[in-house]
Amino acid sequence: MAKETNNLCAHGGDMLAYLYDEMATAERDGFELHLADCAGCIDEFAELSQSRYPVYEWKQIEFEPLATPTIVLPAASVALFDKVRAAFSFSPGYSFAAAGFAAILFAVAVGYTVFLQESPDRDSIAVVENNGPVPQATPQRIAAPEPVAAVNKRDDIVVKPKPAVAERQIEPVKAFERKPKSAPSKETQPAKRDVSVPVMSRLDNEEDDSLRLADMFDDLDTSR
Amino acid sequence: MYKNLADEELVELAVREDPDAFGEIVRRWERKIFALCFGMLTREDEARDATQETFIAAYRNLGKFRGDAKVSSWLHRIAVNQCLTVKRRAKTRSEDFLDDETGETDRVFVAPANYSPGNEAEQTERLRVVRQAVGSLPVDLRQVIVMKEFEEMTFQEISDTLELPLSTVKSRVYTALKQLRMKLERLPVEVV
Repeated sequence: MAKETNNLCAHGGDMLAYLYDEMATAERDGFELHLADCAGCIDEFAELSQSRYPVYEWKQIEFEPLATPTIVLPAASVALFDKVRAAFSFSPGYSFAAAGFAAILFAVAVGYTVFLQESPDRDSIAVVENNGPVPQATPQRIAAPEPVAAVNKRDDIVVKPKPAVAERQIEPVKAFERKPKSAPSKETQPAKRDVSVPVMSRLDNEEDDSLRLADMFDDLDTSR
Repeated sequence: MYKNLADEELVELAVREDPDAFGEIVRRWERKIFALCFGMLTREDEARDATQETFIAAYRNLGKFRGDAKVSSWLHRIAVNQCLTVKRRAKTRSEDFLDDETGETDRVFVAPANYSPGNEAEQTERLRVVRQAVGSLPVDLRQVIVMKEFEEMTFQEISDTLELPLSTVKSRVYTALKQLRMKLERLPVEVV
């Protein structure tokens, strides 16, 4: 643009913007002040205006009076597949909303399932209720256990009956009392005693086993 | 009688002995000065007023014209000063701000006051010449001129649409206007 006119000053680049009114107010005022004093820019602006106005006049006289044509699209036969596809085509916004709602429902269902699984009381109660009453730790009267003799053979297991779990739970904890045991006789063999296991709850099985083992070791020690 | 004289000779003649010689100057430059005023004011009613004021001022200052510049440059300078005066007046008038806000009078194309069948024929011929000149432009130049003048797109919008740099768009519009001027001067306007 600067090559074609040698009489343009530094403001020559603003010529078109001013001609087409695409300048900011401050810039336009500055350019007008320059235009009033620059003969080269005046002549250049005049030439551009004189080229532009005939085109503008042509547009106003021949184009502007023309009515905007109404576009009429021919009716097209829609295939059955296109109809089905159109019925299930949703706008992107609607699709995202539906996907979000489905994700929320899925998260609620998963959360509820996890919540149900993490509630064992309910399950145990439900199971117990279905299978029968839970054994309660209530004090019960049990007959005094019979003294047990030491055993020579290791095969025989001496089981010392223990008081009921309920009594041990309720009564204060006592030290283990060892009952005196009679000396073994060579002539007689110890009779096998019936192993009577007192009824206990499941929770005391391990504890009860350890005591039985302790008793067994004690019995072995005393027998030596 | 005056058609064969140069502009400077007409001015000298008008100053010395024949004021009617200035009429030939008005006839030669009325439309071009009007185009210049329209380019500055962008409103036809104001451009016509500014054009009239320009030639009135030029006639009153014929004695001040020195032959160091061309008559066209002298008339251009007077026209620019008249347009700047009109703009300064428009800023101080409140009713002009209302007109600018509504913009209803900006796009009205007012028919010339001296409308006549002869002028209508001249206008038809002039439009034919313009149509031919625009049609003979290279495609890339014609495209930007149409987008600028008919679609009234900004330079930035044209740049975005055609995916061209802004400077390239402005350069093409400038070149197109320059080539249009040369073509319009070469193509004669024949009025039957």
